[in-house]
Amino acid sequence: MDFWQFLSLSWLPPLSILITQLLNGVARSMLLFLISSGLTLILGILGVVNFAHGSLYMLGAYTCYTIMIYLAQDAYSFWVALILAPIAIAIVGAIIELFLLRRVYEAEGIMQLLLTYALVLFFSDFVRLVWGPQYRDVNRPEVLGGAVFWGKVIFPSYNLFVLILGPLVALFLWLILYRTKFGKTARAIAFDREMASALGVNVPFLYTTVFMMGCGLAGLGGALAAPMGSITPTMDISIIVESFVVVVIGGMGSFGGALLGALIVGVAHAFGILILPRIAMVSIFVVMAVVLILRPWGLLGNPLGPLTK
Amino acid sequence: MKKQSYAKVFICLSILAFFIVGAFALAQAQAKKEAPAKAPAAKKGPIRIGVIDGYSGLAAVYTDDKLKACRLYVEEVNAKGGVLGRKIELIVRDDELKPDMGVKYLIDLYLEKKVDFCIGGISSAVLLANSEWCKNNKKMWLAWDARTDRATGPMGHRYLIRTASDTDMDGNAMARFWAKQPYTKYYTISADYEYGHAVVDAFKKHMNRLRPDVQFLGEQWPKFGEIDYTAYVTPIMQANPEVLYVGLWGGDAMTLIKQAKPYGLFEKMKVMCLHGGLSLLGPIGMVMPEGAYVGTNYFFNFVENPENKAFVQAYKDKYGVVPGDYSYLGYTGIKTLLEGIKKAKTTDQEKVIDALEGITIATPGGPLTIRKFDHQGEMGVYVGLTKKSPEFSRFLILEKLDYIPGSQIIRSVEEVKALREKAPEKK
Repeated sequence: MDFWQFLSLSWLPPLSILITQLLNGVARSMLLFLISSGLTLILGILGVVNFAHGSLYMLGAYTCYTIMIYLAQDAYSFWVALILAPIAIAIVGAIIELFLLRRVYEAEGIMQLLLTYALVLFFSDFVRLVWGPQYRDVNRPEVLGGAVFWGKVIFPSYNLFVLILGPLVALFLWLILYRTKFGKTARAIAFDREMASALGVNVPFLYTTVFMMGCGLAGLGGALAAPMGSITPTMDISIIVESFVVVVIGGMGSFGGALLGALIVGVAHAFGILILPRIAMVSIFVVMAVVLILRPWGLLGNPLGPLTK
Repeated sequence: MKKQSYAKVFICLSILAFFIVGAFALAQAQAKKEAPAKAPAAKKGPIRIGVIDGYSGLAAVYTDDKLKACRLYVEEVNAKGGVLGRKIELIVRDDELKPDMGVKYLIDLYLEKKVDFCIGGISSAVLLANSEWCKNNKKMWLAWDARTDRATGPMGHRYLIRTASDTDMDGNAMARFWAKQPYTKYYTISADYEYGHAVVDAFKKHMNRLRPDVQFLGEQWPKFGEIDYTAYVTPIMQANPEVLYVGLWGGDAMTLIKQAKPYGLFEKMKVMCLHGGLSLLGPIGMVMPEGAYVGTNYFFNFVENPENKAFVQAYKDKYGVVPGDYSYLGYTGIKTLLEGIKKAKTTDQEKVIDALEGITIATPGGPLTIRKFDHQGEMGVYVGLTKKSPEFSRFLILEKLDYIPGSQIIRSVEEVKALREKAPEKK
């Protein structure tokens, strides 16, 4: 291929394929965003690196499965599970925060890492104990079982649903954080906890609530992922690595960063597969390495610390 | 305030440390109690067999099936008075799919617990490590499942015996089936790790040999445990092959099938899942499309022989489900070992290995021969087509399309010899 051939872009796959692949990438991004936004929220406001976030995502998927089995996989069962699973996981989060995490805020960072990593091990065995080692599987709701056709572009309806839900959740979170008093105080705590506390902000209560929100997001991601593939006792590990990549690229504690990071990771992955399948897996780590070299605090992060803007 | 919380942490840690030390001491005391009580009685007591397999982690769903079938067979044998008048006792250990853990338990079982034989394994990495240890220590390892063709090929030795077909045999079997079909355009997708590459390489190698006119349009290498395959489906659809060869297994295969279905992938091309026994068809349930091609070592209604009839019935009675492909592997592995002991009339390992060389055993999947030269079992491979059955409402069953006997797909003695000659691992 000479230079002019390269410029004419004739080596690219047809447009319909490019569009499909872009949509696939963005849908994956949205799922990643839901999970990593919870991670970044907890990191930004509580300053805790929550290794157990992937485990809560897995727990969300299993909870979704159990609710759907309990409701005998009726037409509405998925929607009930989609609402109840995040709430259940948020409650699990509250328990973790109140009984475990709260005790180690004062300690060094390494203690928090140890604690959340211990939770990863705990939940991994817990899931095997309760649900067994088998792969679990739930059906997609009837309405979203098929695919949408638009010319030559084929797109599964379920992925379209995830693609729409992602930005809605992002908007909702942004409104809470930047347009409510709750959000304002939460950001104030992230900036200076002792000062906020001195001014009469109920810090412990806010910590619990924020942690619950983050866990709820992980649960929502898990419930959404359940009908996409299979539910396995090892799904926690595969997601947590990618979520950390997203958070590092986007900037620790930055919401917009999580969204941008997720979009970059999802789309880079999708086009990596299309153009250079052999090294597709590496593509997202290459992006991360470049970001770390050029902007170690992440694309939309703040060198002074999270959520200070 | 801060001091106090440190003190609390310290107290908590000391209590924790106390418990850990206590647990270790207890475990050690237990181990000591176990060992001397049983070691001297080894001559007269039961024949003790160590089972080392990956019971935690991704493979548990398969290893549990193997163990269930293994226990079933041992119960049957013990009910009839055991082997050589001695009962069989199983000692089960979890290698966590880690090579160092596999070797650790081998040492523990053979040298400390003085077991008579060791059997098991699903991970190829663990198999290679165990095999190396057994070679150096002249102890036997019977591999009932792990499939890397390097184990009995270039790295094979006297003390390794494998009952399951290897990656090269699996790839050869699939190539033999597809070479008879009119299709020429293929595409492959498999997980990006040792085993995933091995199955694709074997298929390509044999396909290119049998049908030089066949074209491979492309390949995809998603990571092991990928959650979203939609991005992989688009390039496959665009390349428009006639046959898609899927080397994924378990949850990965399930996820791919589920996500590819809305795209109409199964209508556009023939899809061949290398691992499609009941271990896939059971968990995926009715989502599995009809008319998909799958490979498997065993399916419960493929073989009509008294051995299989009894196996299916006994398994159903004990566990309430029909046996799957992995149940078959576990059953065949333990049966091979016990038949070898029977034939040798002793538990002396050297004599049992001699007895196993060239032995033919009646299994639920038909007769199985252990080749004398490399101790590789000549296990056959089936190709089936998924279809609905009025008898089973929760999963699809298979229609038998083809059976490739193990003797046709096993590498020739000359080929294995050549591989061993040039093996860099040779010492």
